[in-house]
Amino acid sequence: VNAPEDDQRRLIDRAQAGEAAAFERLAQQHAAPLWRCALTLGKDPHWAEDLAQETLVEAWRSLARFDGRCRFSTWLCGILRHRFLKGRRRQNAVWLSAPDVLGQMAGTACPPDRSAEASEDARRVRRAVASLPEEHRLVVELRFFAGATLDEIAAALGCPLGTVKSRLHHALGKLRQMDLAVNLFTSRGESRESKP
Amino acid sequence: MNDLPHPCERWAEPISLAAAGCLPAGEEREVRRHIETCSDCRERFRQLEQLCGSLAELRLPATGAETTIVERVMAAVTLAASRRSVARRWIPRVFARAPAEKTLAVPPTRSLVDWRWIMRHPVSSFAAAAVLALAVGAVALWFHGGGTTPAFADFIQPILDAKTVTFNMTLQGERQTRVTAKVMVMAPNRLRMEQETDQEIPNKIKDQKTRDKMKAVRIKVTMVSIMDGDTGKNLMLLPAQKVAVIMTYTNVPKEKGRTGGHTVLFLELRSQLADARNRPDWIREPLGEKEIDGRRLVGFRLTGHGMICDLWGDPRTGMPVRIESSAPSNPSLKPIIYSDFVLNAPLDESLFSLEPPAGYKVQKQSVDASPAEEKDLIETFRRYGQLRGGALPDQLDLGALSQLYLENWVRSHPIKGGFPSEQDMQEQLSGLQKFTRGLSFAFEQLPREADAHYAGKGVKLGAAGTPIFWYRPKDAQKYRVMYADLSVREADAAPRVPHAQPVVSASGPKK
Repeated sequence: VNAPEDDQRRLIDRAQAGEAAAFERLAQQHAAPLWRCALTLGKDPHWAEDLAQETLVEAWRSLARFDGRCRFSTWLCGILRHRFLKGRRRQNAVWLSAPDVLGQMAGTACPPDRSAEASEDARRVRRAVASLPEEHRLVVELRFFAGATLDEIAAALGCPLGTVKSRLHHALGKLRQMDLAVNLFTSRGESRESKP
Repeated sequence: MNDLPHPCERWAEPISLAAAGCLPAGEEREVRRHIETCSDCRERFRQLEQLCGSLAELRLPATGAETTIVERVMAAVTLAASRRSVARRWIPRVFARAPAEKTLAVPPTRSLVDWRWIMRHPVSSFAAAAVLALAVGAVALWFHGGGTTPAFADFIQPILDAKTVTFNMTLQGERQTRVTAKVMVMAPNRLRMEQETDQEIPNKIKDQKTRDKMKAVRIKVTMVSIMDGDTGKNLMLLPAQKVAVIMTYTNVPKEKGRTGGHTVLFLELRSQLADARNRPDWIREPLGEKEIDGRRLVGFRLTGHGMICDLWGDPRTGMPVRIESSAPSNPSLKPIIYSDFVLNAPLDESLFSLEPPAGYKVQKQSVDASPAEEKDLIETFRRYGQLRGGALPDQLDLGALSQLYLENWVRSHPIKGGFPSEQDMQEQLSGLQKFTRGLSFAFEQLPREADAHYAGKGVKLGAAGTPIFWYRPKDAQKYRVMYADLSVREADAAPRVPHAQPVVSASGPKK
C-alpha cells in the first residue's frame, strides 16, 4: 500500500508474468493492512489471518484478471469481502455473538507511557464508536482502526464510494455530537464554549 | 450536525473527509481556503481533526500476523507453481521387474527394488507416520477450535497416550501398478510397513496367442520395512526372495538431531497437535460434510509442503477416517489414500525387531546421507546427458530420472538368476544415488526464497550461455546461474527465460 505506484505496478507486472518472488513482495506489503481489515470485519484474530491468507492466495490465482483500473489494495479488499461473506455464512452464529475483540485490541499499539488521561480518552472513543449504528461503525473502524482508504472501504463493504463518504461524514458528526466530544475536548483543556 | 450556516452546508462533508485525511490534495486545499474565511467551519474542522486524531490512535496494533500470512500464502503459491511430485517419494514402489511366478513365460525380468526412497533423506522414511501425526493433529484442531480449552486437552490425550497406531495406505501408480501398505507405529518411534505391489507385467511377446494369454498376468511383490527412530537402523525384508537388507546411513549431519536424522514419531505428533493452528507452512480450507460408508464426516484440505491433503474425520471422535494426499504438480499420479486408522491395536514387539529372520540372506547396504551440493546437480545433468545423447531432462523429476537409470542399469547387467548380489545391489544403489543426488540439492537443500528455476527442457549440453538452472543461495544477493556447458556464474538478477519451471523446495533445510 505504501510502495510508490511505479514500483507497485512493476511488481504486479512481474507477478502476472508468474514471478512468485514479486508476488511475495506484494503480499508482504498488503498482508498487514488486509489483516486489519479482516479483523475489523470478522472480529476474530485467527479468522482474520485465514481471511487475509485466503484473499492473497485467491489474488494470486486471479492475478491475470487484475486490470489496473483500481488500486491493487482496493482489488484485494473486494476479494476479502467475498471471502468474508462466504466465511460468515458458515459461522454466522459465532460472528454475530463475537465479543468486542476489536475494541479490546484497538489502541493497544499506543506507547505504554501514555498518560492515564489519554488512556481514558481512548476508552471514551472506543465506547462511542461501539455505540454507532453498524453501517457507520464499520466505516469508522475500517478507516481509523484498519487504516483503509475510502476506495478500499467501498470495496470491502461492497457499496459505492459516495455512500462510504456519506457514512463517514455522518459517523464523525455523531461522534462529535456525543458526550464523547464534550469530554474529549474538555479533558484537553478546551470547552465547547470556545466555539463561537 | 447541521450546525453550520446555510451557505456552508455544502462544505460539511468535505470538511469531515478532510479531517479524516480522505480528500485528494486539490480538494483539501479548497476546504482549507474556505475555513480560513469562515470561523464556524474552521471550528468544526478543528474539532473533527482532533476527534480523528483520537480515532487514529486506536489503529490496530502490528501483531506479526503478516509474517505468518505471507509464509502461508507463499507456500500455496509456490506449491501451485511446482513441478515436483512429492507424492512419488512417499510410498516405496517396486518396478515392473520382480519375477513373482517363475513358471510364467514372461519377458526377461529380474528383481529390482526401487531404492529411491531408501537412499533419500532418512526422515522421508517416516513420511507415513508424519502424515498420521498431521492428520490427527489437524482433525483434532478443526473440531475443537485450536487449543486451550480443557475439552480439547481431554480430547487429544488418548491420541497422545496411544501406544500403537495402525492404518492402511493405497496408491494406484503408473503402469497399472497398485501399491497397498499396512503401517504400524509403536510409541515412541518405531515403524513397520508391510507393502504389497500388484502390477501387470509389461507384455512384449510378439506371438499373438501368447500375448493374449499374458494380458491377465499380474505379479505381486511383498516388501516389509522396519525402522527404528532411536537407533537410526532400517531393515528391509523381501519374503519371496528371502532377502534381508540392513541399511546404514553414513555422513549424517550432526545437526539433524540425536537420532541421526530421524523424526521421533510421537514427539512429532505432539508438536503437530500443539502447533497446527499456528503452523505457517500449512493452509487449511474447509471442505464441508459428506457421508462415507454411512458415517457423516467433516472434511478440510491442508495445502503445503508440495502436496494437498484432503482429510475426512468423524466429528464425534475427532479421528481421521480417510485422507487423500496428492501432488497437484503431477495430476497423472492418483492420490495416496490413508484409511482404517486404529489406536492401541495390540502389536507384538517382534514385529519391530531389527534382527533379520532366520533363513534370510542378509545384505548390508550403506547410504550417503550427507547434504547434496551444487556440484551434485552438475553431476546429475552430466550423467543424464551421457545416457541421453547430450540432452537435458524435460523437467526435474526424480521418478523419471530414477527409472531411466534403473532401466539402463538392467540393460548393462546381464541376468544371472536369483536376487542380485550384495555387490550388484550396492553398485546399483550408489550409482542411482549419484545419478539423482543433484535433485536432492535442488529440492531439499535450497530454501523457498532461493527462487530456483529449471530451464533445461529442449536444451543440449554444451550450449554455452544458455541458462538451465539458477537459484539464490541463502542470504545472498546474487543468483548462481548454471549454463548448459555446466559452468556456473553469478548474476545480479535471475535470467529471463520463458517457460522456466519453478523448483520448489519440498521441505527446505532444517533450521
